[in-house]
Amino acid sequence: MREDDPKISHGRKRWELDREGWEALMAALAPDRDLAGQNYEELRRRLTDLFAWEGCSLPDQLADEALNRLARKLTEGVVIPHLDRYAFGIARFLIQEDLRARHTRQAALREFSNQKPTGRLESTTAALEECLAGLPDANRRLIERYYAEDRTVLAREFGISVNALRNRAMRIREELFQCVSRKCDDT
Amino acid sequence: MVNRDQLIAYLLHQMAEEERQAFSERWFVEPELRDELRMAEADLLDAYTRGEVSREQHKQIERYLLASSIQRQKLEFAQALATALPSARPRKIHWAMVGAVAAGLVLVAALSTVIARNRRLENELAYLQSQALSQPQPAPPRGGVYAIFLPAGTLRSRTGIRLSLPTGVDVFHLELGLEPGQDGEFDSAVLSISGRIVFRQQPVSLEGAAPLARASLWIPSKLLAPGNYTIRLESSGTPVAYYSFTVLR
Repeated sequence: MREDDPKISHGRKRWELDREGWEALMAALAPDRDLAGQNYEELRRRLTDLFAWEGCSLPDQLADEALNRLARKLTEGVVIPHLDRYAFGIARFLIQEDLRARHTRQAALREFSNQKPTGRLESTTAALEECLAGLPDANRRLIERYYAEDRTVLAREFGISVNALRNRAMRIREELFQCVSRKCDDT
Repeated sequence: MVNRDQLIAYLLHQMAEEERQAFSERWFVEPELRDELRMAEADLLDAYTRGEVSREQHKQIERYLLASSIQRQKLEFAQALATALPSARPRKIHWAMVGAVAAGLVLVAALSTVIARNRRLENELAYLQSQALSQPQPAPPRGGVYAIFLPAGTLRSRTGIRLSLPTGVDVFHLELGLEPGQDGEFDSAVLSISGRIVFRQQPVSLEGAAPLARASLWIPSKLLAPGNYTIRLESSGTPVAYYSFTVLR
């Protein structure tokens, strides 16, 4: 890595994703542009989950940084046969970096971690109400009963296993979560 | 094949570090395992929000699953879900229930005063009916009236307010406690179940003065099927307060 590398932002020494990097990443994700976009979102979500479950305080920013580093390797001509495994390797490295940084800001982080969600519950609930109302009747009834009733009895009534019932309910829950997130982002 | 205990052990950092790293590498490239993990996380946050986790898990969830704003958004969603779709299943008894029991006792005390008020309201209704008064508000119809007071903050209540409507009740009178400073005018109150609006009252009358001000709603009881209800008070078309309660079968 040279100091006069135009891709390096001097002072911060942090490589920013440029058009070339973005194109290289898209091409590596899939030959079809739409599919590449979907794969990008999926990989970003995976990275975000990984950082979140590792207890990192800024999972989405770290996910972007991992994707930036991946793009950088591609523009440098590194051949990467398994993109997701390589991304995982970068992520592990970032987790270690974050862990070291975490020790130095432990007190602040502890305070941050102890924050409870405040003030947004009502808007989240309002968004959820709208999203629930937008569900097909069968799905709305299912998720309502999933939380309100005995799941073993409910699964028997549907003629499916409790696990299958849970999978259905969780898919609806995920759909609701995405719907609520979109609505809250819009406001 | 991964069982649920392993998923939870991963999410709550109960695995040895080497095992944990191998597990992350695995779920990162296995879509089905990823989905299982996301469902296990949703289960944990639902259980946390509904007070259904052990004391130890409670601590671990706060330590490992709520460290970022992204995770706290997931928690807020779980809380909203618990408000709109509260659990009606019996819960495990544990330390968190102590607070719930205390809240229940407060509720019983509030209900006692409400029952006494019921009698007075019935008398008032009989008088109004005999006078054949036409009200600008939705008029309390004939028949029995069941009144209940919902304090402010029921939306955040983990215990939930549950009630069984007695037979012969035609009208459900709800008094909604207001937060200090909220005793302005309200355009409407919207009652919904699972996001579906079942009743709207316009305008909403206020009773009492601060700090005991209450918004008053009269709801035909035939509209109240068993389920979990949310009430939204609106002022100039903007939601200003939420309440929730459950009608039992």
